[in-house]
Amino acid sequence: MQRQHILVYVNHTLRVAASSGIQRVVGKIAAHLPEFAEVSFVTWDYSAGQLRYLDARGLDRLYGKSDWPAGVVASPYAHRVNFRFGDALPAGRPVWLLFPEISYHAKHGTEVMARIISMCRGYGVRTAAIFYDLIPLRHPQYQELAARHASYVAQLVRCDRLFAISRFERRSLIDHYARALEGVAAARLESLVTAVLLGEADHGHATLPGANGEGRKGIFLLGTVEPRKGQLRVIESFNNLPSEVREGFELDIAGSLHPDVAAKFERLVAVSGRVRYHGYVNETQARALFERARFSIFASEDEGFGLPIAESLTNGVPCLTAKFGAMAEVACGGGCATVDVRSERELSQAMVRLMQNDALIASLRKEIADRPLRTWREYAAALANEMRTAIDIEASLERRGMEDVIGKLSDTRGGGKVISVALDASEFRMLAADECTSRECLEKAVTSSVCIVTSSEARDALISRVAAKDVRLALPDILVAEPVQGAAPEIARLFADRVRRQEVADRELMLRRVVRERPDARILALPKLCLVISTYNRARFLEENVRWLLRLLRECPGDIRLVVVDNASTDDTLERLGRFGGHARLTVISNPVNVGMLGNLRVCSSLVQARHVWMIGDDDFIAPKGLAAVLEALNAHPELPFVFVNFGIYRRLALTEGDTAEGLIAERIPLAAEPVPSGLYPIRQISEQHDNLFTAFYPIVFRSDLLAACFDYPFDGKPFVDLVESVPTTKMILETYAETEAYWCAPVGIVGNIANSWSAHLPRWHAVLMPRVFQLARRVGVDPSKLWAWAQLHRHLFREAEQTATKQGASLDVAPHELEVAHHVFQKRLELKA
Amino acid sequence: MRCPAPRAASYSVSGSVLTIRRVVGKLGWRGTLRKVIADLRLGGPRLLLQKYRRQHASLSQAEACARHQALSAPSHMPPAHEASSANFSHGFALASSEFDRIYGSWGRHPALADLIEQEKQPRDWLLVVSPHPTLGFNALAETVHSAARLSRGVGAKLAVILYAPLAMQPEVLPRAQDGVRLFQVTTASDLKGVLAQFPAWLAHFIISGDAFHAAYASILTSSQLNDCDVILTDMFFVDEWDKVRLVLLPGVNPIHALNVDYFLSRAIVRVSCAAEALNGRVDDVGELVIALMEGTTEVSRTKCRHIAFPLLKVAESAASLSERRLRLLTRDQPIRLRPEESNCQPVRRECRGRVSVVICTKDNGFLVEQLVNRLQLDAEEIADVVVVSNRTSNGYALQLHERLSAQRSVKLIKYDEPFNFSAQCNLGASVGSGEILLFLNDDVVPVNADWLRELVAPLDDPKIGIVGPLLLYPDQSVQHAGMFLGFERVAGHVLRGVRLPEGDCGFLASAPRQVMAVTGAALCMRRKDFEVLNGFDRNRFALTIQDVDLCLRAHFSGMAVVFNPRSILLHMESVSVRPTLSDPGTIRRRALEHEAFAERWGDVVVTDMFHNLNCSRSDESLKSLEAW
Repeated sequence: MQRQHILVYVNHTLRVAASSGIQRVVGKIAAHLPEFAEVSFVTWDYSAGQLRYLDARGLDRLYGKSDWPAGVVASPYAHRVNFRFGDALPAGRPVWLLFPEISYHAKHGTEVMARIISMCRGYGVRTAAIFYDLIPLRHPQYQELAARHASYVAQLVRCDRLFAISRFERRSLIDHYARALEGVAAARLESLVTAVLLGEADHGHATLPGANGEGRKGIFLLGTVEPRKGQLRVIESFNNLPSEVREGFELDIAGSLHPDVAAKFERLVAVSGRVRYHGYVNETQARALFERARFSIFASEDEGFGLPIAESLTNGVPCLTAKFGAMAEVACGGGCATVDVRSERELSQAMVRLMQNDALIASLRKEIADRPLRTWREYAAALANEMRTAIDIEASLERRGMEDVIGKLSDTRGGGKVISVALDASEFRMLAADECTSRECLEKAVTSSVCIVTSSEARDALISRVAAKDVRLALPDILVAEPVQGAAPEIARLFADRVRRQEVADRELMLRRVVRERPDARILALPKLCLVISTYNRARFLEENVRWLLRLLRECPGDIRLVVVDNASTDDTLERLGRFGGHARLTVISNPVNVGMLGNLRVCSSLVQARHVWMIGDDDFIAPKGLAAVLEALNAHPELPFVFVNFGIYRRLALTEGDTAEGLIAERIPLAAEPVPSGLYPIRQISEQHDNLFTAFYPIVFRSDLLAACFDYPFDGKPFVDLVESVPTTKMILETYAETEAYWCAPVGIVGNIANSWSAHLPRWHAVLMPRVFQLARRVGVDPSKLWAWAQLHRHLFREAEQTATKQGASLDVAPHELEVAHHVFQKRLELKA
Repeated sequence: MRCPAPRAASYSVSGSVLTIRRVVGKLGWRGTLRKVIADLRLGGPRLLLQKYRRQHASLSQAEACARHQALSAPSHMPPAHEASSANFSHGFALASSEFDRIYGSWGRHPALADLIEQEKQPRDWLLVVSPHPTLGFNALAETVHSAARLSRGVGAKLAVILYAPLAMQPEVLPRAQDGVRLFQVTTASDLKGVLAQFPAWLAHFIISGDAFHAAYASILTSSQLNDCDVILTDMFFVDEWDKVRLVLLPGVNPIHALNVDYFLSRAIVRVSCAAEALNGRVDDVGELVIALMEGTTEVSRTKCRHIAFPLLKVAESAASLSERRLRLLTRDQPIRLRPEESNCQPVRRECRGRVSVVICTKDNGFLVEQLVNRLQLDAEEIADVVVVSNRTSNGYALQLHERLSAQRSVKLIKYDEPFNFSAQCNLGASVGSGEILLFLNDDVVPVNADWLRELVAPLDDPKIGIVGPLLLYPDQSVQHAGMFLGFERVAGHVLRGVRLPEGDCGFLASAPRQVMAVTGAALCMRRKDFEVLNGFDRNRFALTIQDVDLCLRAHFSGMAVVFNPRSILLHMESVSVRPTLSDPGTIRRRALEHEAFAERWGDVVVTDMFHNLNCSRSDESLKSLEAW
């Protein structure tokens, strides 16, 4: 079995030197997880806008004075620049990314988490998170945290697995999601959230006190002093005990003091005379306090787990705690007395029993001695095991299904019989198509998900027959394999991709529903929308566009801003932008170096400016109605992945004196002349509105995490060499999100200039790149009849471009072997003129 | 390709006019003026104080940099510089009153800040004293006496081991003092035996005649040193003119230690570690410390500590240090990179055909011709020479390029995009075939015959990632002897403008050592490391500081960056880019690049583990002390 690789995200722990409970969990994971999996630690590189491995300095910070565990090394890629993090992942093994922290503890935390999840989808990395609790949503005391916590919990639903720290919190989270999802995805939630209980001790047994344990007179309360933890109630109960009961006993309280209780706490401590407050204590100091304790009290009203109970047990000290929630779970293993700690009466009675009854203390100690304590090592092992099991289940399901189906295929070869695999909403249909000759069989082949033939000659023959019969449908993938089992890996991959697309669509829908149920769960820290213009050396277009947009923004909420990212222009761009100097809603960012057209889009996409971003070129003009429609859609569906705006085109090589944004918008030619009405549709359906297939980026409003994932490439290859170096938008949207629901705005909302700067690449565009786009679109289920028609259009456009290039003596930049896809898509072989 | 930012040599003299360009530290204008006059020993000429900075307050950093460059070219070195270098020849020289003023109250000195604790817990103190070659028995007695006094003051127990090859007669040994245990050993094994009696102590290796600054007590009472295996401290001695000479160490630097005893065989080591090292063949303090330092080159995973405060008064002299420096310049001992390499075994590393030389150029036809011709002499080592020409328009340069492209060993690549030094270097590297990449500016030329072999040699050690040579100006003053962080919030060239060997305090330019960065004007590294880092950052640093960025990325990825003065080149620094420095677009972009650098490394450049924090970070010549 391949050893899995786990990336552990330690963004907050790395940056903030503190010792919170969560950071303690991170520390334990860092110490023990490397024993059970290959582990790398990662953080967020705010300036590059992507994940980054920890270097030696970071690992030192993480491990403090301890040595790094065996197997932990500083990645050589920790300081690589201008790359895609996904390209520096270990090859050939399953990779997980684990979030062990609460996102919003770090800067832009939940937004960054959303980006990481979206990027990981692109890398094929599964994501998991440790889920601590819903306390901020349950308790009015944490009102100021509630919105942040809600948005964090909403984002968690996009992970592949969630590991709740107690069974209680697992149930709470499932119920929280289920309320929003109206029971539709109950079964999915059960497998999404599993309980992996935190470790209780470093060793599997408690350190028990010596012979005089019963003679101790200390009562120890460990944990931040705050309203929820109930220390005030304990002190009051203690103070109210008869003096003969209290005789000789002292309450030791350790933990930071929350300002909300500070005044009252200090008053109670002063009055009592038998309460000692130690402030924050480290592990050694806490151990010393446990050593003089007869028992401890952890009287919290609500906990995700209750680590102080475990610490008490580890030190061999019985604990008085709550008989409900996660605390009851920890207590039930033995060594604890449980009561309703919210009741002062029950609390007092239990304290008296524990203070006076030596036999009870001895019996609880015996329970402690008898109970095995779950170690942090076991916790790490359980985490690794959960992740491994999830992959194994996925793999075995896919493999079993595929092996079965391919077995049937080989039995029926020659018959043109279709074998189907049921998938949630659609079917994955395969056909052994060598013998297909009849129109009926050919139609069956063309409408299946994949065809399998024995040779490349058979493939060419199949394409010719489909063309000859004028079937007018785009062909599916045709795999060449003899025997047919040889196609199994490729079929498995295509099938897995489809399963993944469906899974992503489900998660995106769940996110939207969770946010709809609890509107404060959207990422509130960011403005709703930001308009970003990418520009290079087109000062006049840019000036007009900025003027126009600032005018449009006057009618919009104040937090919607305009950002211009100048790609090191050498014309008078900055001078012209200077004319808007000081405009409150305009931000200008200048690259020190020209990073290329797509490179600048990456810069734009890496900015954290708003929850949604409408990124346009300097000569793309947004129509007033377009902006209004987009804002309306985002108001109604705050976590929409994309809004696709119908768009029009115009042509200008340069802006003339009379040209204005209003004029250019008015002279537009719409791309989708007869669009479906505005509304929510699966992206696969939206793509059928016109032949652009998301190759133009300016009519797309991205949720910012998806925008960052979309342009998460170094763009250091030859321009237009492949889909990444030309249309990363199409690649990501179709490959990953084709089944996901997005919003379509039917009115023309933006116009783009078709007098583009890349006309030299047109022959390659029509003969190499667009055929690849059509092939991808066909694979993800876009209507084959529309694809066929658009493909024929591009075949003609290639001829035109070829003629122009020939006249100009320019190179076509197309190699003959690159025309295979065109042959498949156009259903006609393209012959290049000499 | 870095622009030399204004140097902290803050004045120049022309005739009877003294121009002060920059205030030093916190001295203010008056203080600076007094200091400069004292330095120059000028008496009476009419002085004109030009408040350069105020006058030019409107200048951006890059503009000031460009103007400064014209002013500070080597040929314009002020005579005053020469005059002051005589004072400087053996490190910082302070009047004793000045020394007391600076180091007399040490409570707030950053080197000691974390050592001085409220609750002082005296640490037991073990001194291992070796005899001074020339000083007599009194020196030994004084040392022990000084230690006893200090230990009594803080309530620490003191044990002293006299470690001398020949046993001393009992009557010449220092008299036992209250609470001081005295041992005498003559061999390493005996030493080990005595050390075994004090397993949890720190052993302080010194030489008879040494004495302790009162602040030494901070070592004896601080719990912060509990985890340290090796501690080095700065030192001082008093010269024949009663000036206090500071010996400021460049941090804990194993590679430096392997090639020169820069810590003068004084060190504090954990006894348990020392005993372990003595199990091996290590029987000399220098080698012992080196053995303990080994393995500490990994970033910040160090159990070694340098205390940048002159805690020890050492029995040394200017002449003895000068002699060591001269000896180093003969380069008669082979470079050492690992402790196990014996001094006696010359290491001759093979680098035949391994090196791709990448030269980025524009119009410097004559300089490129000179360099490429010189490289012919190293043809055996060189796999290919890649010349990357950027929009070359000079007639002679074009002609030369045509000639070069006809040579089999030269690959000429045209880069017709706007100037981007990083992208050009990356392109050149991608075209070359050698497993080692050497980036050379077109305005350098090698000096010593074995420059390339020496430069490449350290790369045989897998821990070493980048190597840079010693660069001299044509007037033989130092242009580059490694870099230190913090100068102009980026990095400065160590010892820039000083003359060798006199000006080389701390053996910084005389022996190989680890540094945080070397200049991209001559930078050598393995291709595979370069590829892992994805080369120079073409998207952020097109014009400047890409070399510092690359070195920092290498350093924090666990690759040591080494300055190797056994390879020497002349550098006519920034001849090629000088004309573009006043272009407003260039100035703006340089400022953006500095911003990008600050964003990436702003928290890093505030400290440099290989640079003494007493040296002013605004003075590349290292002639000014930081005003703490």
